[in-house]
Amino acid sequence: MSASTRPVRGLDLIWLVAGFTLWGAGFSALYGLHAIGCRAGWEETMLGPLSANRIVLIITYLAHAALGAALYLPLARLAARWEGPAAGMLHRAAAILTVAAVISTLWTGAPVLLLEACV
Amino acid sequence: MSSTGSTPLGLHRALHRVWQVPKGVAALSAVNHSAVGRRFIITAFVYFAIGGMLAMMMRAQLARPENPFLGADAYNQIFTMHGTVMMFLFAIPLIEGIALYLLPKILGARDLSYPRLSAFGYWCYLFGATIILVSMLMGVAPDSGWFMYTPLSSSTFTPGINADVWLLGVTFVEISAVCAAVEIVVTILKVRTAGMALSRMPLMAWYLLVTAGMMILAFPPLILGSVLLEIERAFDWPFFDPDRGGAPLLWQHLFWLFGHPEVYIIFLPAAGAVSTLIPVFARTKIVGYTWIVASIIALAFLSFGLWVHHMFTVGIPHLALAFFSTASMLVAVPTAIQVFAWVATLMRGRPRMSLPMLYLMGFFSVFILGGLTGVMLALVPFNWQAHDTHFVVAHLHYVLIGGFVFPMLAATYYWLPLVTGRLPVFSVSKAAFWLIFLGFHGTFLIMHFTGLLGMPRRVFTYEAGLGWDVPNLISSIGGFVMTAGFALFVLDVILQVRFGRRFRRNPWGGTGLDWAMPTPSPSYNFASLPLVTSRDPLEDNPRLGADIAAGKGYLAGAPRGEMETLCVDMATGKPDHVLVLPRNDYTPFLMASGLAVFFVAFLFSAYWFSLTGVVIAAIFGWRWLWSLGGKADPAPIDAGHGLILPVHYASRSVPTILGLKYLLVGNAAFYGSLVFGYLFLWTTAPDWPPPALMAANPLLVALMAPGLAAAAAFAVNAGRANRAGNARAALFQLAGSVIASLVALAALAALAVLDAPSPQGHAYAAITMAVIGYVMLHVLLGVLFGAYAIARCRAGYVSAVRSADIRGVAIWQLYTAVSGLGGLALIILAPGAMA
Repeated sequence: MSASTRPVRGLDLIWLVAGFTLWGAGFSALYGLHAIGCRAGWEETMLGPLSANRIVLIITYLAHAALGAALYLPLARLAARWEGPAAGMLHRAAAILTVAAVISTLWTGAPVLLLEACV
Repeated sequence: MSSTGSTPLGLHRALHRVWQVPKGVAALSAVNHSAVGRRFIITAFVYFAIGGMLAMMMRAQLARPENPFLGADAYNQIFTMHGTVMMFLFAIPLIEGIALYLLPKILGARDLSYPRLSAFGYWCYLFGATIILVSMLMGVAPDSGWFMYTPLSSSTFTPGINADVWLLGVTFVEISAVCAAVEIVVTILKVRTAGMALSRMPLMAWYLLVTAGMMILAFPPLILGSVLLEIERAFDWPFFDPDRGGAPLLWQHLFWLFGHPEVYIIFLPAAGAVSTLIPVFARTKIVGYTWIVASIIALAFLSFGLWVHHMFTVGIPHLALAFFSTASMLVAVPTAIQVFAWVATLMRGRPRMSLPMLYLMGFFSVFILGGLTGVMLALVPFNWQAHDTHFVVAHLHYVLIGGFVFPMLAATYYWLPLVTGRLPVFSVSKAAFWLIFLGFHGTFLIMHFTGLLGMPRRVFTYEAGLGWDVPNLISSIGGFVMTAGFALFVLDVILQVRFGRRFRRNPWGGTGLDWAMPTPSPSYNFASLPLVTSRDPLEDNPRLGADIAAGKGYLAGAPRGEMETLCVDMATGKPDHVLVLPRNDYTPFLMASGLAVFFVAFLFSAYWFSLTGVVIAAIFGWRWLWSLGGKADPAPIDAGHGLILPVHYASRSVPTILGLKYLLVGNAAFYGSLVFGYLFLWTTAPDWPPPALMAANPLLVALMAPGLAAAAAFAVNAGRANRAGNARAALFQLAGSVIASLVALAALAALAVLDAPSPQGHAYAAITMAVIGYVMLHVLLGVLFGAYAIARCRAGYVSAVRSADIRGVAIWQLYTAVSGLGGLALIILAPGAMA
């Protein structure tokens, strides 16, 4: 083991679920904010061409996608230091899941760009 | 590996003396994973037979229009019981049984992390299932459909005990599921053999790990829903009553928050069996191990984002429907990755059409069709057309029978030799397969068209001339053919158990540790625990089984007369301590019996008497906890090959603490669902804001909030003092924690009595009281756990090394403080926002 490497720890397993946890948070936030916005009448408040409701939803959508993409950087930095029998496989799996979660966020949240919010 | 000097027979006898499972009445005390797993599996198959008979009664009724065979009331009970039995009393328990039976064998362990918890789970399952079954024999079975929608299941429209049977019986059974889930997660993460890094784990273990994680998160919403609905029925708290600010849709959300992940909870273990069997019968390695692991995890998460696709027709805004529609389509991707990996494995290998493989081919053809109709139903416009028709019934049977029953039949044939030590000798199994396969398609393929022709679900009869007569008759004939196939399957299993051909080891050429043990597998599984260096230990060393039996691995035999197995580092598989397991014990049976008293008494509205059951369960729970650990710091154990390891209760990574953390994750899911319920009612239900809001007395708030925080701080400090070797300070800190909890408890009780509005008046008051009740229960348990830790310290069970008791209290009090303060903030601040 070189000075910069270390065995994978139990806590590192969090990287297997980090991306999709963020996806879940984004999905729940969109669903919840959509319900609150429609109930609170945000759809009637126009800020330029878009309603306040849609702006909140789009910001939430893009923020979660950006955060998900940003997760890849610390993962890549940390996982490069992992060593031992599980290191390679866990690194690959975590990378696949982090990228897949960003794609999932973009896909499942995309309706905020297209559909009427409170119909 | 060096020899221990004992003969294989000598080791076997020594281990058998320590590990043997008692017979006769004493079998009630058995906690061995093989015994408990077998009980789960056999009981689940009995319920499968019962569910099948109910299905046949339904098919007999629907075979002809206006058939007088069953009346509407009987039919309602039968279709409700069919769904309930198959989902809650067959599928989930079968998964639990297979997991509990197999896991130690594939992980190279001698037992599970908490054998008594599995035994407790079994008794909860058996007692809960018995309550439900007896209700059917008494003619008061649940009759509101297996998803028990309100208001149909509310006391106004179901005034008898039918719905209570479901709510209480299923909740009892779900306690079993949560116990099993915690057991499975901790076992997979910690109780493996040396060298079994996560990357070397059998895929089946990955599947079961993810499934158990899903169970921990998915079951609590339904348990919460059942508790709320039972409270509404028993005490008239109107959570779901729209006339008093409640919402029937809240039930649907809570139910399907469980219900959709449930589909994948059922599918994933079956897919695990597929991933295990295909490489064996294709005589090659699985293609895409890492991709499969990633796809299982992705599938688990996505499955929690689909629940509203069961509610597309209830009037939810289009944008919300679109979120769930896109997620429903997306979930097909990780499923497809697994299917492609299986097909690629078959293409790379040299498949042989052995018996289990035949059933796997059935799985492929049925499940893929079910998956395709699933994508159709994910599309909102199609879903609106097909909703509540027989098309949906056909789809769900293609998914569940294709995705669960066929792989489980394959798995049964694959692993049955491990249980019986025998192989099938007759060809009954092939005839059984073809009858099941053809009967299945005969029943359900045409049912898609029956649905598209407009026939709704859950109708006990229909008029002639609607075009449904012939398809229904064909479905009924197919159903009886399928049943004949299942009967032949049972006959075949009996023939194999009784007359099967004996074999020595590894009849299928498997490469995992499950085939590196004698068959039938002994209660201790392995005479010594091997060092694993790859995913295919039997391929690396075909003589591994003999080496293990000769005691050439770790912890050979039972030289200390204890039941021992290895615990390892989660990721790397490096051994970190020895888990000394409990002997056979009646406590799980007695504790579950106490809970049975509670549930039965509650069912018959004997609410005060039901507390007797709680007291009985608490007494045996205390006894259970008291038996953990020891009164002196244990000497490290020589595990062999120069490996010296601490005993589990003297280790920092003791499994008890890990189990507690996962239990609290499930608890948090329960609480999160309650908070969701509060917010859902606030934003969606009619008649909000409510007429009367709670105004909390500032003095009470000033006692509650610091009380909760101080209880946690004292408990954490007790842990620090204990670690520093200051036992006296630890005791004082624990006492401080108990006193702070008592102050918070008294303030909470005063809040409930003096400030909170009557919970019968409005759903707001009811759910506010539910939050207060949740926090109070946790503070009360914090008092009991604190008192328990004090008693343990005084009795000599706690030291700087043996710290699990105090650490457990600290974790509990921290959770109580965080959840309690969050809950109090919600119920105290929300009225201001509403006003």
